[in-house]
Amino acid sequence: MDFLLFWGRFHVLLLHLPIGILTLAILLEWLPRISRKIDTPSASWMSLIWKIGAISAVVAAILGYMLSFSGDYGEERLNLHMWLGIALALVSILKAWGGRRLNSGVISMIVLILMMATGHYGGNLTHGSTYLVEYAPDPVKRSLGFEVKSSRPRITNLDSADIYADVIQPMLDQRCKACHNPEKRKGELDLTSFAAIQEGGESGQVIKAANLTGSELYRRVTLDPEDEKYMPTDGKTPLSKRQIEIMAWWIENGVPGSGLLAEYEIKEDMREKLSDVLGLSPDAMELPLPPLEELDEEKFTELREAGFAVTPMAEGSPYLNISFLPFGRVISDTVMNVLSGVGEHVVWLNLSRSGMKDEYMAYLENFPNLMRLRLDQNEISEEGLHYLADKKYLEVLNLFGTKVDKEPEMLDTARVKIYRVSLEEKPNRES
Amino acid sequence: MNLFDEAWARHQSYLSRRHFLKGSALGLGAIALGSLMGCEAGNKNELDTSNPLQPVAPHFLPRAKNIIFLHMAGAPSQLELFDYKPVLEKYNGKDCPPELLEGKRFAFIQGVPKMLGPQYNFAQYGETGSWVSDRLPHFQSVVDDVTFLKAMHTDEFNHAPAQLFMHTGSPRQGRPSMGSWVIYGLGSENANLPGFIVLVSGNSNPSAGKSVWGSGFLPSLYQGVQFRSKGDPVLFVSDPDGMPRDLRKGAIKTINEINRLQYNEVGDPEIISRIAQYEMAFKMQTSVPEAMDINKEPEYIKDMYGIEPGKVSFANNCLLARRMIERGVRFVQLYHRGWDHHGSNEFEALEGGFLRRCDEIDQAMTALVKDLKQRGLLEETLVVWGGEFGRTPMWENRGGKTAPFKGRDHHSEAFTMWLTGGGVKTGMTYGETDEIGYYGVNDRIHIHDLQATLLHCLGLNHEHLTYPFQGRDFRLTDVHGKVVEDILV
Repeated sequence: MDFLLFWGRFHVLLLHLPIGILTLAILLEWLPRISRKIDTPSASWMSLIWKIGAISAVVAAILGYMLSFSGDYGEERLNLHMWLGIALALVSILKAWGGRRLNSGVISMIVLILMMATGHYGGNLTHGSTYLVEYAPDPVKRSLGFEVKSSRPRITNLDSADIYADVIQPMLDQRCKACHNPEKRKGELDLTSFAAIQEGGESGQVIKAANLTGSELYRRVTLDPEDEKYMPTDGKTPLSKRQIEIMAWWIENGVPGSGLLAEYEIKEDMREKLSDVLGLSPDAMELPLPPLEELDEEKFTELREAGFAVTPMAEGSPYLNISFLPFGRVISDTVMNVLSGVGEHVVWLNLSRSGMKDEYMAYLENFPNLMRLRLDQNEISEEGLHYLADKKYLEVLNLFGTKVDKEPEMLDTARVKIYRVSLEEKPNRES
Repeated sequence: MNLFDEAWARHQSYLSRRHFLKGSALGLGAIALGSLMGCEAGNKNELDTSNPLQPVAPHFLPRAKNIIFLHMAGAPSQLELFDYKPVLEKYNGKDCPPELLEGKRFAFIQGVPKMLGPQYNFAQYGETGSWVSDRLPHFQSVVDDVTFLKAMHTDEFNHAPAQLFMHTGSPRQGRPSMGSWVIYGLGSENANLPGFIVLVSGNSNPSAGKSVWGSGFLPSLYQGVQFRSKGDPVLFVSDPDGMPRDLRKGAIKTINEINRLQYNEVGDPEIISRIAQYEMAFKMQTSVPEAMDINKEPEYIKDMYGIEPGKVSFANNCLLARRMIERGVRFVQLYHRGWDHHGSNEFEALEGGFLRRCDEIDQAMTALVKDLKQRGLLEETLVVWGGEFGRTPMWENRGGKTAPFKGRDHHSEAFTMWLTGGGVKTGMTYGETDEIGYYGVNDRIHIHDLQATLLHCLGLNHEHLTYPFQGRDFRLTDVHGKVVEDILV
């Protein structure tokens, strides 16, 4: 077997010869027909070139056959490539030794087509069928029938990440997929899906639940990089230290195939590592609010036309930070109607100096997730504050310069920070 | 002709004009194909002409929405304001020990200078017991609200490079300033005022000039707009006598239409800046006079700040800064120049000019902090105060001769800044210098770390706020900077 594999690997080296020589032969035949300035090479030379080309094709085919015993390649695709290669070798022998009557352009054409096809499928075997279009623009991809990768939705919150699909799979895709995919299965191992990983490869199972040392997948990536069994091989970029630690954590937690991170108890340092690998800011604060759907762009436009400055609280968050910046405008029923249309989504609301009145405070009833509210420098009195009594997430209420002249009783002042200096009072200069 | 000459002549005959033009024709066609196929600079910011500074979501939850940066240009002496070094007092007048001089470069010190003890009395204030000198009597009352960073350090010891370093992340010109990066990343909520406003006091612009609020390689839309504190806030923003507003509006509309047509043809983002600035200028004609009118403030506010109407003053600028923040301006920067106390003359003396400078800022900056706090604006606004570097524990001896007045040279290894507001812990001192205030020994913060932290408070990941230029992505902190999480809430 080793003998076969040793020589078989030279197929990859030698196949360039028939490609070059046969292409040259075809060119030498066709060019004179196209341009009168080019002389047809002598028949003896043409014959010699075809013969050398044919021999090299046969040798390459034989070596290829020997290489196929390595088991590194997917059955179907391998067969296609093999038969095309054998056909190519036979037809080129025919052309080289077939004599004068077979000296027609048709056979050359067949050789060319067979060579292109064999070469293409051979390339697919080593680099995967998506190699050439990987970085092509999307329209090109679609027109060629390749699927435009619709990736998983972006993770903005550590707890909502799926332990396998968002954490482990991307890592394997990045560093292992090139050699361990359904088309090219080095070591008969496919690492592109959870099921495939569980199937294992040539040497058996690659992961064992809660058993780090027994998991070949882990062992291979933690070997000495000089070791020939180290993965990834061939000087390819290895997994980062963080990624390896996360893989270890995944194995220790029983190698789950799915499940939200929220279900696991994760220590602080591991949280940091996970955030880092997921591209989240390690210190990202999270809103203690129930999940919501994101709003459409149209809603944003509607709000902006009404005079609000609207931004999501953070990229990808369904919650909003809204300010009414009065410039020639004041709060009115129409304006408040538009605003209450998105009531659920509003977390920070700035209505300072907006002409807000007690009568409009009723609109704030359906704003359950309000955390910060600025009503400063408006004619608001205690009446209006009743609508805020049930806001259980409210943290900051700014009543500076309003008519509220004492601590509002209906609000839980232990939880809500209230800034209050009424219009009648003057703050103590020394305070 | 011999063979070589003939070969040369033949060779030359293939370099005729004709051949050049023939070759170029293909080249030009290729360039045209390139632009047809849409090979643009690929910058992520698709500028929307109607409101290019439209506020945008931050990368993650922000702690603050606005920043006020009080920059004391010239570098105030931390040893006379916040960093109390009683041990230095013992060395007063003695020669500087050689280990502090060996292998170091100073801006002006030569040979062996004498040590200079703290010139003013320090005491502890507030519940936190923070040290403040007697030069800042008002500020003593707000020490519990601020966090001091006592071990700041920088790489530059000259004004212009150090100021550029502080504000743009590089000591050389050409990079966008912090305010530009911030409004590039977040936009600004008030569409009628510039998103990044600069006010200057203390006689002249800082040493580094207007580059410290420039937009560098970002579209010039993001540059800081300097408002003048005296007279017309923005020159020529008012209409000439007799011109009705409608006419002005119509003119601008037409100019912008023409500019837009040009943009559709050429695609230069500077055209968008131009369009936006015309429209902004028009809106500023009404918004700016209103925002800048500090006379409308109630008397007690005016007294609190100690404003001087009709003059250029730091106090006026502080009050204006607060008004800008109220109106949703994202980034306000105040420069107060004149802190370069080398001791070469009375103006630059710790016992002379320094006293006046302290008076100028003490009441005003305290009032700013208190006013923002009482209005609840400190929840969302981050206030930063500091210079571009510190001052040496040694008495400056320019040219080998001790300065005639008390003064210190530039010092990059240790200086003090303070922060308060959105996201920053209060009543804390972070960082410590050695017993004579020469080096930082604990919790040192580099300028890039400060920049990363400020961006972090606004909800921006300093590593992800980038802009492609000259073939690579740049960011404010370039390849440095680590967020100082210990000072954040």
